[in-house]
Amino acid sequence: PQTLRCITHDFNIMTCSWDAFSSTNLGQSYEFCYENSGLLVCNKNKEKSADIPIVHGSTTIKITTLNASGTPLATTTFILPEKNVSFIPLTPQILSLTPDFSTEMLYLKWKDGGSAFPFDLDATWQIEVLRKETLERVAQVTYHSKLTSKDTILSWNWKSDMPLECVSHSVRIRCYINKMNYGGNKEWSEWSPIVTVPGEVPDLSFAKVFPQDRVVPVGSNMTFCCLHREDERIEHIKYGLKSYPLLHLSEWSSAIQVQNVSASESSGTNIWCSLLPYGVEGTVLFVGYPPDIPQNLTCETHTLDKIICTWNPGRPTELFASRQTNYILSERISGRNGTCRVTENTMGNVCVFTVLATQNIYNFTLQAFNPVGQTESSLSIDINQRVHPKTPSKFTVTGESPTKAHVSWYLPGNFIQIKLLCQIEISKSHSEPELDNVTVYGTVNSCYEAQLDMLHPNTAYTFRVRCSAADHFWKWSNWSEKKQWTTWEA
Amino acid sequence: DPTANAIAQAYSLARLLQADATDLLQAYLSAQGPPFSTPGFAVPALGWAGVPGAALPFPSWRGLGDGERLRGNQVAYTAYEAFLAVVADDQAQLHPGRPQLLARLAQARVRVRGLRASLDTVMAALGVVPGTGPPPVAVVTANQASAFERKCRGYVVCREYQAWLGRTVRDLTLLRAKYLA
Amino acid sequence: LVQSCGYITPESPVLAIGSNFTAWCILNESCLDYGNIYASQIIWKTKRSLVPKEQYREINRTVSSVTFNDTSTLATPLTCNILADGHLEQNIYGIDVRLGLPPEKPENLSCIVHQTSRSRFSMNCTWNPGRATFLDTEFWLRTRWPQETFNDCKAAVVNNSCLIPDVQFFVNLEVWVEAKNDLGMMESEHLLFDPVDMVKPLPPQNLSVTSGILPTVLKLSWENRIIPAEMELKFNILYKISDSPDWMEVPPEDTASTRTSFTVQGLKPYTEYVFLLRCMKRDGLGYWSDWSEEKSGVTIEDR
Repeated sequence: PQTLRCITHDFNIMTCSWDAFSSTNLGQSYEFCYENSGLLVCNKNKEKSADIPIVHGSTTIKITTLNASGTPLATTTFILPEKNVSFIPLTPQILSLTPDFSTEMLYLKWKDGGSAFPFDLDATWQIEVLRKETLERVAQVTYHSKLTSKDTILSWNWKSDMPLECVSHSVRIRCYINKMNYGGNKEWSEWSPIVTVPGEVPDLSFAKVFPQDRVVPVGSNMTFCCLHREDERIEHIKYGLKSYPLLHLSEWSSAIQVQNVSASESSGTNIWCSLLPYGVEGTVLFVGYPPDIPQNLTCETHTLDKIICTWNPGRPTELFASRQTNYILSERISGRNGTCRVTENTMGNVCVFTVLATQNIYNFTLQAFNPVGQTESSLSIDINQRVHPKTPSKFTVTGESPTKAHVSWYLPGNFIQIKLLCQIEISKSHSEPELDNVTVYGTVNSCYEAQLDMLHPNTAYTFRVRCSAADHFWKWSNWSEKKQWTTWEA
Repeated sequence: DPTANAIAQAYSLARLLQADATDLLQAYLSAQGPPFSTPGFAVPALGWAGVPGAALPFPSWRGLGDGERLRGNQVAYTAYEAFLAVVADDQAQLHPGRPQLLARLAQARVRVRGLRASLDTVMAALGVVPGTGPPPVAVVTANQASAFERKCRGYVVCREYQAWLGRTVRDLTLLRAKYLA
Repeated sequence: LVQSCGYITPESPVLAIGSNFTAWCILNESCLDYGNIYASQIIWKTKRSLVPKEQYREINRTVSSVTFNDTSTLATPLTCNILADGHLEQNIYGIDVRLGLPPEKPENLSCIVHQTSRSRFSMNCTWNPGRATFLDTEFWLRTRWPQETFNDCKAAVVNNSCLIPDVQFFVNLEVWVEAKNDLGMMESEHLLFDPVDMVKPLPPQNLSVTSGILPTVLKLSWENRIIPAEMELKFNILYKISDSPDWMEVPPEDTASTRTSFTVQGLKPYTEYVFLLRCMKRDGLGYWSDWSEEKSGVTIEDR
C-alpha cells in the first residue's frame, strides 16, 4: 500500500484511501490498524479506503494487503500529521430552485449541513447561475453564512436579465468552511448536482415571445426572446419600428436586447418577431413612470359630513387602463380608509372620507401606486379649519320696512358645532357694493336668515350671499345667485 | 317589387359598410402603434380562430346558390357582431383614451346588425330559409389573450370584416343583376 | 282629535276634467265613541268653500260620500270636516286632486335626418302633441328594426320633438310616438322609411371659382361632404352678376349627378359673378342642403 490520502468532512472522522498495486487483485483485502486512545484498532476492508477518527497531532496507520486466503502480502506504516488531512465540506444539496416567471426571479433554497459540526463555523458559499444547454455561467455569487451546529435552510434569489422562459437556467453551489484552528488543508466542497429550470418549449408554449404584457419603468434595459419551431427561422425581431441584432439562445430561441426604453404610447410598444417561412409572434411592453408624489394635497369639507381630498397627480405616468395609477387614502388615527375615484384624465382624481363624530384631527396619507412604483403624501388637518361651504341656495329677500329687508338662504351641511360667517353683498346702481358680515350659528335644518337695515327706501337693490367658517377661515363658498329687491316707499 | 327593393337596399348598405370598414381598419391600425400603424401594414398570414374568412376560389363562389350565398353572409355577420364586441372590449382595456375608435367599433356593430336585418329581408323575399350557422367561436377565450394577441385579433377581425363586405357587395351585385334586371 | 279620526278614499286621485267623481270619508270607530261624532256631521269642502249638501250622501254611521258630476268645479284640496259639538269645525282629512286630460293621439309625425359631420347623421322627429293635458305627460319617440328595438328618445325640453343622435341608412326604420300620462296612453301612426331618404346633407364646402380659357366660362370646384356609398347627389347652382339682384339657375338636369365641379357657360366676358351651391339626394328624396358659402369669380377679357 502507498500514497495514502486522508480527507475529513467534519473534523471528526477522516476517510483515508490508498493505492496498492499487485499482479492479481482477485480476492485481495486490506487490514488497517491505528492507535486510538492508546489502543490498537484494526479492521479489515475490501476497499482501498477506510474511515478513521481524527486525533490531534499525528496518527500512525499500518495497512497490510492480504490475499484471498488472508495471507499478508505487504505492509506499510504511515505517520499521518494532522496538517496532511484535508478538510472538504460535504457536497451541498440544493433543496429547491423555484422560478417566478412574472418577476424573472429564481428562488434557491438549500440546507447548510450545520448539524455535522458541534460548534459554530463561518461558511462561504459559491452560487453559480448557468444558462442554456451549454451551461454558460452568467452569474457567480459568494454568500456567507454561519453554521450553528444544526441544519439551517438557507435561501437566495436572483433576478434574471432575461425572461426565464427564454432559455434554461441552472444553479449549482459549493461550500468552503474556514475553521481557523484547524491545521490541515481546507478546500471547497464539490459542486452540488445542478438543478435546472427549463425554458419554454415552442410547441408547448402558450406564447412565443417573452416577456408577455410586461410593465416597466422608463429607462429599463430589456431582453425579449422569440421561440420558434425547428421548421421555422427568425427573420427579424423589431422593437417598435426598429430591428435589433439577434442573440442566439438555443436551437429554438433567439433574443434581442433593448437599452434604456422610453415611454410607450398608450397601447404599448409592440415587439414583433417575424418568422420564416411565414408567421408572426409578438408581445407588448408598457413603459411608463412611477407615480409622482401627489402634489398640493388638499382635504376640506363642504358639509362637515364628508371630507373631500384632491391633489395634482404630477407628471403623467404614460400608463393607462389597468396600468394607471390608483390611490388609497388612509387615516392614521381612526385606521380607516377613504374611497377614491380616478379618472382617465387624472385631473378629476378625488378621495372621500366620512367625517367621524368624535374626531376633529385627521392624519391622512395618500398612497399612489401603479405597476412600476408607488409613493405617498401626507396631510394633517383639523376638519373645523377646513370648512369650504357649498353655494348658498334658495336665497330669498322679503321686505320688513322701507329701510329693512329680511334675507334667508339654505346652506347644506351639518354645521351645528361651528359658527358661520356669512357675507351679504348689497349693491345698488351708481355705487360700490357694500358687504354686510353676519355670524350665525350652525342650524339643524341648514336654513339661515339675516336682517338688513339702514337701506334706502324705494331703492332697487341686488343682494347675494356667501359663507365660510367664522372661526378658522378656510375658503368662502361661491356666491349665491343674485336677488333684486326694491325697498318699500317710505 | 319588394324583392328588388330589398336587394337594392341591402346592396347600398353593404357598399356603405364597405367604405366604413376601410376607415375602421385604418383607424384601428393607427391606434395600435408600430408596426401596425406603419402605412401599408399587412400580414395576410396572420389569422385568428373563428374569424370567418371571406376568401373563396372564384369558381366556388360563382357556383353558390342564392340561399347558400345569403346564409354564408348571415353566419359571417353573426360572428362579426360578436368579434367586433370583443375587439371593442380589448381596445377599451388596452387604452380607454381612444373614444373615436371605440365609437367606430360600436357603430360598426350596429350597422352589422342592420345588414343582418337587411339580409333577412332579402332572404324572406327570396324564400330562403335562414341557416343556423355555427355559433361564433367561443369568445369566452377572449380575455385570456395577451395584449399582442388582442392587437392581432383586432387586426384580423377588421381586415376580414372589410374583406367580407367586399364579398357581400359582390354577392348582392350578382343578385341585383339577377333580380333587378 | 289629535289622533287621525278618519281618511278619504281615493287618496290623491288624478281625474279627467269634466268627468264625475265620488269620494268617501271613513271615520275611525274609536273616534266615534270618544268624539261623539258621526258621518252625518261631516262637512265636505273644496279648497275653503263648502260643497253643497245635495252632493253628500251618508252611507252609514261612519261613512259619508260626496259626488261631483263635473270635476271642472272641483278645486283642491278636498277636505272632510266635522262640526264638533255643533259649532267647532274640525278637519278630519284632506286629499289633493289633480285634474287633467288624457293625452291625444300625436299627429303629423315627421322626421328629418341632419348630417352633422362626415358620416355622422342624427334624426330629429317632430309631431303635434295635441291639446294641453294639464298633467305631467311624457312623449316617447320609439324606433325599431324588424329584429331590434333601439333606445327610446324621451322628449325633454319640449314635448313635440326628439333627437336621435346616430341613425343608420339602408335599413327600414319603424318610427312612432307614444304619449303617456296618469289618465292614459296614445300612440301616433307608425312611419316606416329608410333614413337615407330623409337626409338634409351638409352643403358642399371649399367652393372655388376659376376662370377658364374662354371669356364666357367660369369653373366651379367644391368638396362634397357625403360619400357616394351614402348617397348619390344632385346639385342646384345659382349665379348672378355680382352687382345685380337677379339670380340665374344652372338647369337642374345639367347638375343631376354626383360631381365636384361644373363649368358655367354663357357668361359675359370680364365680369364678376357670384355663385351659390347646394345639394340633395339624387332621386329627390330628402331635403336640399343649406346653400354653400357665396363665392365669386371674374371671367377673362374677350380679346
